Amino acid sequence: MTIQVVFQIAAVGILVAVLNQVLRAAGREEQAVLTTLAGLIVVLFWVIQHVSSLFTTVQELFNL
Amino acid sequence: MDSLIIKACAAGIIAVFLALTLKKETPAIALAITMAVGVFILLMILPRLEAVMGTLETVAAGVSGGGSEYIGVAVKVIGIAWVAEFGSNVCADAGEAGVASKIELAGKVLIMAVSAPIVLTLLERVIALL
Repeated sequence: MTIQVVFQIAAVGILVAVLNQVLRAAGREEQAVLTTLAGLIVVLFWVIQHVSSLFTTVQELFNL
Repeated sequence: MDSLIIKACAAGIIAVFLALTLKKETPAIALAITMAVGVFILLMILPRLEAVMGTLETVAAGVSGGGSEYIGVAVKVIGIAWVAEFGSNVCADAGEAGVASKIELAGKVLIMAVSAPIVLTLLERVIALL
C-alpha cells in the first residue's frame, strides 16, 4: 500500500462534494444523495482491501 | 530508523488536512481517509515490529527457569490490543464512543481469556511455594 491511496480517496471525496453541491443547487436532491452513496461505496471498496491485508498480516505476525 | 518516522508524520498530517477539508461535505469519506492513513502507517511499521518480536523471542529463549514458552501468549496479547486499539480509534474518530468502548471491552475480555493459563500457572506455583 502506498500513500497514493489516500490521495485517491481524497480526490473522490472532493469530486463527490462538488457534484453534491452542484446537484443540490440544481434542485436534484435524490441524485445528490445517490452520488454521495456511490462515492462512499467506491472508497470503502478500496479501503476495505487494505484493512483486510493489514489484519491478515497482523494475524500472521502475532499468531492470533 | 531511516526516515520512517518522517514518512509516518508527513502521511498523517497530509491525511488530517484532507480529512478536515472533506469533513463538512462528506464526513464518511473523511473517515475513510483517516482509516486509510492509519492502515498505511501500521503496514509501514510492521516489518520493524517483526524485528522487535524476533528480538523478544530470542531473549525469551535464553531465559532459564522455565516460563519462556509463555512468550507466545504475550505476543498474542499485544496483537489483540493492537487490533482493538485500531478498531476503537476508527469508531472514536467517527464520534461513536459507545461502539469504540465496546470494541475495547471485547479486546480486554479476549486478553483475559488468552492469559488465563498463565494466571493459573502462577497461582499453582505460589500455592506450591506456601
